[in-house]
Amino acid sequence: MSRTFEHFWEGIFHGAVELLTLFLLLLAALTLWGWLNNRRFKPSERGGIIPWVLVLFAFALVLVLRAFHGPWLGAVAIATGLVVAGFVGNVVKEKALWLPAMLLASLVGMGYMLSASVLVVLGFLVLLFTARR
Amino acid sequence: MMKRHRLDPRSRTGRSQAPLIALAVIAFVVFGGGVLQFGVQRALGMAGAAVLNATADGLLESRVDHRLRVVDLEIDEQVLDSLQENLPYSGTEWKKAMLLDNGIHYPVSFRYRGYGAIHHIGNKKSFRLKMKRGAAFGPYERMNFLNPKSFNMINVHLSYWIAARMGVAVPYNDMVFVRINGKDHGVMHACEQVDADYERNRHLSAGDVPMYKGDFAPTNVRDSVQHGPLWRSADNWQYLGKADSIDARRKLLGLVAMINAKDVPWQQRRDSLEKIIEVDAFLRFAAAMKVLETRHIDNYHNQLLVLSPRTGKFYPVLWDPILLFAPADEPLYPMYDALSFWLMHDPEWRWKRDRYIEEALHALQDDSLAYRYLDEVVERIEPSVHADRNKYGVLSMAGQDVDRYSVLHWAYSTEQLRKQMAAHWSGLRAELEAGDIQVKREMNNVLIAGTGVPPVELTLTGDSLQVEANSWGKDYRVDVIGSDEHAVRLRIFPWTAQNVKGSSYNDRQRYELQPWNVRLRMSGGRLSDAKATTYFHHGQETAR
Repeated sequence: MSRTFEHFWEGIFHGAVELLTLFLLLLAALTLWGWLNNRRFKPSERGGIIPWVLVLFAFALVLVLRAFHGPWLGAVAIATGLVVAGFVGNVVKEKALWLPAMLLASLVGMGYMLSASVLVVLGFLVLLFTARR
Repeated sequence: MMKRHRLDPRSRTGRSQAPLIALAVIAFVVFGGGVLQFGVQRALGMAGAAVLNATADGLLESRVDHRLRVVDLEIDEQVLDSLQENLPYSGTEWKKAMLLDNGIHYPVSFRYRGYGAIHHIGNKKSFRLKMKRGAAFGPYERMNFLNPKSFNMINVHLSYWIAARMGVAVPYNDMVFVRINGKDHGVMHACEQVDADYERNRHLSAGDVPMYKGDFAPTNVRDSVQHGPLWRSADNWQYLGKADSIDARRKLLGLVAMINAKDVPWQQRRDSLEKIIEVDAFLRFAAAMKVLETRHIDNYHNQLLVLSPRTGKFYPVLWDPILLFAPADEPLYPMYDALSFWLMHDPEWRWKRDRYIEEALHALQDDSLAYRYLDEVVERIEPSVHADRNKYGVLSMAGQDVDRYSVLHWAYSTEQLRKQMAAHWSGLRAELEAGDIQVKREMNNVLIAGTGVPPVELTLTGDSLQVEANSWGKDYRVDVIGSDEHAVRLRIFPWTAQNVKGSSYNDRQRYELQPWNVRLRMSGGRLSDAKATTYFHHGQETAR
């Protein structure tokens, strides 16, 4: 195989593993939040533990932020994400998660993993102590 | 009866598990594809780096106060794009740029440099700046900014520092943090482009001096220009600078002829070499090569020769050494090029090289100078490494696997460098000190047999001793280094090294020490005691 194709596959492999890692991190955090959030509802009203639509939307924001650099583009992407999250959050069951999830995705997308970790822990504690059984 | 509802689309559990299964399949396909494409080891290296880079590096968010010099460069983005069109070939044209240093803008010329994948694959590309003599990096007019080759980033910088301490000529170099058009480019190794102004930059001469470069052809023509081993012909050396080349060319031709000549008595060859090259400088160079255990300077590239205007002889400048680059079983007397074949041929020259090695080990290891300097550089570089989100390096044994790595790679590699330095230097010292000597007395003869690194030092005690010394034996040479009424001290150089031809990369052409056997005849006096040791061996053997 030619050297050019080797580089091509290397780039794809390295990038795919990076994205998969970020997706798994986001999935883990939002699953934790989703599970805690589910505790607000009666067993019969509960949805799935993993809020898949939210996970996908948050990951999309991560991808956009990683792809487009620069203060204005980043700000526009985050603002759009928050506005959409605000609207969507009104009509879904896990509405409490959408805005924090967008903020979490913004931090992950910009590479602020420490801030993201802190937000996950804080979200965990808040949901743990505020959810009704 | 067992319930079969796990993947039933109407079941909530089934609904939530289906995407997870899909995700697991994607992960399996990605990693499995990587394993199939690159093999387990390469795929693991790349995947590990990707995971750590995506997670660990983002944890370092604190504000960075660089302790390294920050090099701020401004260049038209379109120009950068055009230079990157088909690297490494497209990057060799000089383009205008601006260097910001301490608030002052300096006009500079910019081009990419480097043929290896590490220099042009990935986002941290190596480049070169050309500037006026009095500009930001004055007196240096050409500076290379190199993507560090190893994860620890400081390997080559440390190598230059060690070699400089051993008295070897090296280029000016330092670690810097580079920004291009306001964006972090990351930690780089800034290194003077050695040229004919090497001596002028050090206030050793008023202008250019004759300089020869032994290297592969320039990047933009490399694929079409091939040359054989450097010392096969003077034409394989490229002349640099504007100094008069007549004398230098004549000397280089003479040197090449002397290196390649057959059937020349050793003494004549040795005298001739001493007239053309600064032997001491080359032996220091050879000692540094062994202390650094680099293989990155060889019969084909990374060689620089300066014709000193003071002595009229060539001396070498170290270029692109990589600390501990060679395999672990590198021989004690490796031949890295055809000239080193002759340098290591002479036992006295070998001894001199070995003494430089021992002196260096004493300072670097016993006095911990190398480790202290390593700590100092690590402390200086650390905040900038944390800020550098653009760390690109070779992730596997395949040189083309250049991709992002993490700060954990850097930390681990730095610790490994420290351990490997200690292990290599302890091993090297053990090799120098290893040996076994037996001294026997037979009538009027003293027999010394043994192994190890020569020379042998022999002290004979007695009355009115007369030794047949200062003569060349068939396999050894004896010199009196001290004598009085009751004792004679002799230094014996056995010709113990045998040239062993290499057969593969890990089996390099080398000299191997052979067991020696020396017989000294006493021509007069009464011998009462004979003590022998090798120079580097601290134990002694005695015969009465």
